[in-house]
Amino acid sequence: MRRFAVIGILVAACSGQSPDAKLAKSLDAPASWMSGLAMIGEKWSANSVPRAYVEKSLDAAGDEFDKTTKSVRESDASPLLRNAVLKQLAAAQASSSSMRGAIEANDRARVARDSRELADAGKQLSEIAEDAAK
Amino acid sequence: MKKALQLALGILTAVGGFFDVGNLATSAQAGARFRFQLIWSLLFATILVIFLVEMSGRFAAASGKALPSAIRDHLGFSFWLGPFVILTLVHLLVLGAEIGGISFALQLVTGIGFQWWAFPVAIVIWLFLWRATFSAIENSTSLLGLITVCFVVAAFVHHPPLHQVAAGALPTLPSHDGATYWFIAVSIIGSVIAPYLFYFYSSGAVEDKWDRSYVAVNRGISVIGMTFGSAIALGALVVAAMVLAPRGIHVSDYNQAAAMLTDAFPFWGFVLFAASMGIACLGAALEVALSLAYATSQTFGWNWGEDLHPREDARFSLTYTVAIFLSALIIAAGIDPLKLTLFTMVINAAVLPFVTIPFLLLMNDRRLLGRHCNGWFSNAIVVMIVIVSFVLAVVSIPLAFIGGT
Repeated sequence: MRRFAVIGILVAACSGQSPDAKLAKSLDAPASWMSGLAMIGEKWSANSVPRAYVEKSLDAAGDEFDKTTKSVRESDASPLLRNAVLKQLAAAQASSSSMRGAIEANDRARVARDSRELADAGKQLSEIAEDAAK
Repeated sequence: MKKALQLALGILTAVGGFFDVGNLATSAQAGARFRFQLIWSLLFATILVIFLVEMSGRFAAASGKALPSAIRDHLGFSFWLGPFVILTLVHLLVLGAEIGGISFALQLVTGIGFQWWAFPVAIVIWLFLWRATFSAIENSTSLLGLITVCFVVAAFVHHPPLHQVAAGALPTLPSHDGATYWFIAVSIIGSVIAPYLFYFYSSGAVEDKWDRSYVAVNRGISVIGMTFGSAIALGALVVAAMVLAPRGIHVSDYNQAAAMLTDAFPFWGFVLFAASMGIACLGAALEVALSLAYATSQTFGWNWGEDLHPREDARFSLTYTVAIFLSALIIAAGIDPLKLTLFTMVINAAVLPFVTIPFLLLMNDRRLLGRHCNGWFSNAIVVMIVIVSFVLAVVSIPLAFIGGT
């Protein structure tokens, strides 16, 4: 009984966060995926990982970006924050879609460019999340 | 000479058998998010597990009984039934996480989705258990499991800042993401002090016909084997801290961790990661399935033994058969293996009191253990472990809500 009370208090404390802070917390996974895809693209260019693995990663990251985009649109966070986040998510979706095409075409230069863009988007999204959490 | 050989083999087994999907997932997350700051939780859990494994081996060697049957016989069926049901459910989750790990490793090398691998993997595990003897299972998977030493080699290749690694051995408060920090700390402890280890180890000692002359061998295996096993988990943590953390990768999916060895081994790194994950999880899956069958058979007084022909212990064989296929269902349903693993490690931590309290009672039973009973030092350690396990039981579930990734 006591354990449930503790859970209740802690969950209530957690749900007492501001909408901006809540949104910031949910950005961890997409930001990690952007940086992860950047590394995976870089490793594919260096022949260190197989194509099937990159494609599976692009699928999983795409699902995460879609899920986050939906939750950002439904969030009560400030419009300024939501727009900044949506901009980075759109950039990441564009870069990952470009990376998928580049891998099919075996275009290593384009994969390298997409990787850099994804790394930038991940970094910026992390900074946005850090600022919003303050 | 025979004992020395058994000690060496036992240490290899302990090293190869220590590292599993839980260690990989929690070490990678700890290194990726907090660099070296959570090394203390791995070291702390290793010290505790050394004591508990030593006690479960000493108990089996001195009494000739495995833990579940001793708990039932000496503490009573009604005392044991509740914990047994809870620990059975935890075993099924851990087995699901291990099957998920093998399936994911196969996804990495084939590109075919992990959920499609769940039942083929289940059949391989089942065939292994159905056909092989205890020592064949123990030795083959553990020797193959030594491939995980690649994490230690990779950690050295990266030349980590030793003063920061050493500083991580001392507990410090996190500068950011406090809830996640404690969640991962608890998950690391849950991954190292997995309940199945003790039931498997003590039942294995009975299978190997240990007697009181094995008490010293058991001590060597526990201390050296667990220490080296923990070094592999530390290697994975250090590699994640050197490769993933600087890039801002927090490991919210196994795919994000799969390339972590490619900085150290550009050509073989990916294959080494997949092979390490697959083999470590296969070894652990066999141990968990056996542990569940041992605990169930001993609880209900059925015939048990991996060295017996399945027709001689039909209910024992049926138990692991059902367990393997139930656990495979979780993965075939498409549940994310990393999320399942992290959840399961927290549950491992939450149920620790059910494991540790019987230790305190049984290890002081002079009728069973004679002069091999716990001394004051071992008892002090067990009391501390019981207190820690109660704290973990209380905080782990709320942390999973707040700090879960």
